[in-house]
Amino acid sequence: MKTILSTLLLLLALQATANAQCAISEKIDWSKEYDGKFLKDFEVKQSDSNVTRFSIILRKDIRYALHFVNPSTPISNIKLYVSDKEEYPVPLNTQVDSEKNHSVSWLKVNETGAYHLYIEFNEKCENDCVVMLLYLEEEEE
Amino acid sequence: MNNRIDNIFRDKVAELDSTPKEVQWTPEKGWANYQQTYSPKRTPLRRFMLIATSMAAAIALMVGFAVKSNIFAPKVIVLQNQTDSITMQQLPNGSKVWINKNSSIAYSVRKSGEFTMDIDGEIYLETEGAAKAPYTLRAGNAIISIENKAALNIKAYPNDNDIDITVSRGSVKVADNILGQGLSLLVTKGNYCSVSRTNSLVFATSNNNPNYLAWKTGNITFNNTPMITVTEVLEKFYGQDIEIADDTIAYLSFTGTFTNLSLDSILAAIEDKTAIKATRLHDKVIISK
Repeated sequence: MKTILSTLLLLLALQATANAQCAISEKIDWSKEYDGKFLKDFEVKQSDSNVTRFSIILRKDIRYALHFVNPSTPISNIKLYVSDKEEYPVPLNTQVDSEKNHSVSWLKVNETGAYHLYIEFNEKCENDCVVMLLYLEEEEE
Repeated sequence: MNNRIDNIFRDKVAELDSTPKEVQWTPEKGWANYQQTYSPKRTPLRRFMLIATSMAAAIALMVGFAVKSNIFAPKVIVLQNQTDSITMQQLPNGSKVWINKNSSIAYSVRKSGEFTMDIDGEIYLETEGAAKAPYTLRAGNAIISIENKAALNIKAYPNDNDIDITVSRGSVKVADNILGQGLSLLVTKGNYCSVSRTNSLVFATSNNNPNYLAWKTGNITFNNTPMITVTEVLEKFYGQDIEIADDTIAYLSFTGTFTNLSLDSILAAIEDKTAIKATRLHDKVIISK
């Protein structure tokens, strides 16, 4: 009985930790975490289609940094793709730090306009989530 | 008047019959010189030009005055909701607008059908049928264009960082007036768009907030929602500070639907369904184990 109870408690604790990892509501001041001008944080939850799409207007000649933090799954399970409005892929430069469970992708576009960001969770796991932080790193004069 | 002056001048010149020998001047030369300088020929064309120029100048003055006085601008109607409940109005173009507490709109309709509306606070708008001309809504630096039947919620409180547009029917185009109206995002049913007031950031994604219309419907829904999000929703809806005293309950999930209930009734229902307590302390509600 004791074993069952402790297993249940452990599972509950693990569940609570998993949820806690990805909520923006943790009130962390992300703006001070990385270099550049902090623009926005997004909580991305795994949807039915496994992929979440954001449409965003990006400006040319600006280097944006997209940090992925607090994932409820290994960071390597989360992939980011970017395309322009015609769905042509936009190249990304990405660094993954598995130890810190953090990844960052740098993005610079040649034309100001609407772009699509696709965040894909490799393994289907309901309620998986991650926080995406958008920073503006450098702006050409 | 000019002719009289001319005659006087000609008489005076004629009286000058004696001039010194060294002066090469005669009354005839003087008269001719005067006429050349001061009396240009008034041909019919010149007269016409003079009248036409005068009339054009008068019209330009009148138009300038009319533009400056906004005589040609359509009448702007301002609706402010300073009551303690939401109000609904039907607009002259058939659209319906719900205005939240402490919110206001200012709209105008031109004869061409062009409809513009400025929004301050929170509204829900339902437009009817295809518009003769695009509807333009302005909320802070967000510009929203509607061309067909659509329904959308716009939250644009001056103290909020973002302007949120949630589309529940049809589609709209959203732009930032700092980036320019040519750069817009198409936001379709079931999606929402956020326009930053400070960062020139415009993004759109699927709407995951089931309570965006709670202010209008009175319905609040939680579906496996972490307690920290539950308290945030209740804080905003009831304007009441709610604090979670124990971090271990922040991520307990809660499911329930409430319609037009008081905060105390909702807190009592949460207490019934979970192992948490809600206690009022001074101006706050404290959530604890």
